[in-house]
Amino acid sequence: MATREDILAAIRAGQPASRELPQVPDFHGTDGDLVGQFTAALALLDGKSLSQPPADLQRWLSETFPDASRICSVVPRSLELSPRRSSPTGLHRPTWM
Amino acid sequence: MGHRFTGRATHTSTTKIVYDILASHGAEHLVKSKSMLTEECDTRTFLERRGIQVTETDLGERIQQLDDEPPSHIVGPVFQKTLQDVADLFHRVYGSDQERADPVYLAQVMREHTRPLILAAEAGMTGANFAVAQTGAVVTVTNEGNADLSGNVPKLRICSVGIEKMIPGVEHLALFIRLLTRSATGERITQYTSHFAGPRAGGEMHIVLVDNGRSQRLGDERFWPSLKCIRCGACMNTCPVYRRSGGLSYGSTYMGPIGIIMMPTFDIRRYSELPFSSTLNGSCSNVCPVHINIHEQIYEWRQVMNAKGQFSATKQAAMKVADKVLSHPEAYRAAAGAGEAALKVLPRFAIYNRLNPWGRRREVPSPVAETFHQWYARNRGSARPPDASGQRTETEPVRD
Repeated sequence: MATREDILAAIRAGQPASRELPQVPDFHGTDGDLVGQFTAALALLDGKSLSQPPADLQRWLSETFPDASRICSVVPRSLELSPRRSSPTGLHRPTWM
Repeated sequence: MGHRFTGRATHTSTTKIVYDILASHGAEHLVKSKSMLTEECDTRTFLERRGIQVTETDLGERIQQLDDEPPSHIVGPVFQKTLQDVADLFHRVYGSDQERADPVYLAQVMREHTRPLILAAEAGMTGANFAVAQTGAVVTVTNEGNADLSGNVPKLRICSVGIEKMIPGVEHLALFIRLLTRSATGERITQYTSHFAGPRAGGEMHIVLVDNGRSQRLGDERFWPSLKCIRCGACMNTCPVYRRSGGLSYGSTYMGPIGIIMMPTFDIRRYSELPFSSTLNGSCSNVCPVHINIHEQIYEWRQVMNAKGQFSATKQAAMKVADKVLSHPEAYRAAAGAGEAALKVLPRFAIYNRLNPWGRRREVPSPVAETFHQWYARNRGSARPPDASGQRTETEPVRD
């Protein structure tokens, strides 16, 4: 059974000639405005972003997603405001099936 | 506990070390994400024979597992099945509604049955799309998040990595991720690009580096470029042979053009016929994002097979006859005419028998009423067919 050292020795023995790595041009250079760039990229996917949360987040959620029965969030505050809480371990038994 | 790196040379020693890790933890249930390397090493069969229940968590891979078939494509393992095929399978296995050939419903059926197995598994296993030397992280790219579930939910995680998946740093990773996603699925980035740089809290993470002939291939000037493959499947998507025949027809772990040049490195005798499953049209090399000269390597492999005497006596005799016939146009036309005439009058058993593998699962094409040459002679008289430049030289007016 070969060991890591055997493999490394075989690689060193069979190594193709070294070459300079090609320079990869920066096709999408950033101008420093990362939020603006993200918003524009999201818009290409028909997504919308809010850089400042609305004053009444609960109302905004209800109006924006009137049919949502479950909203997942990594922001604890918005979980408190979501229509229904759910535990990730409960995802294997969806209630709507 | 942190990483444990293990180097293993062959597929059997790889699966053995995976089994030993599982056995030392008393693990009986393993969930794994899609990994062509584990297919290459036949990991699932090896573990199941030793009493370990293995559950694929990639939707397509799980469908193939339930149907006892290998993947038919390295990105979309179940491309060959229709929605109704999957609905029929789930009805047979899970008792779901056979009439609902609806992808959302079918995905939910799978999630209902697979999620409890993920939650209960003692160990998880993934492959790696890339391994970054700079950070020590194993990177997986999925659209379902199943690699994250397989890798993060159980406390014990095993990751098998082909040694060619190693790249120097994160700046190179950015380039390769872009190449992979745009060539595999046409996306700028997949839903999940996950870096596993260590075990979850209180867990263990083992990384098994697999050689299995790769270091030997690296030293072969002709065939080492196949190690550049990033498993995007673009060569399959463009290949006219793959597109007509499907991945399962190759009878090998890696299928399509890249499979043709990789599989003989594992077993030259078993895969001696594979390099002939190509028209050498070069479309595969044209689309390959890492510029592997696939069709040139296929041609090289044919010569290797010939030099190593991998042709059967029957095939050699057939090739000699073909050489004579195909290099003499009159002989070719006479043979084609005789074949066409024979197809019209021969009884069915003379065509569909053991000696004709083409007739086992498909109908031989019906004889044409008139070949192109016959049509040309009838309609163009003594005008010569177009030459290589597409120009037709006419010796008399064309009759239409």
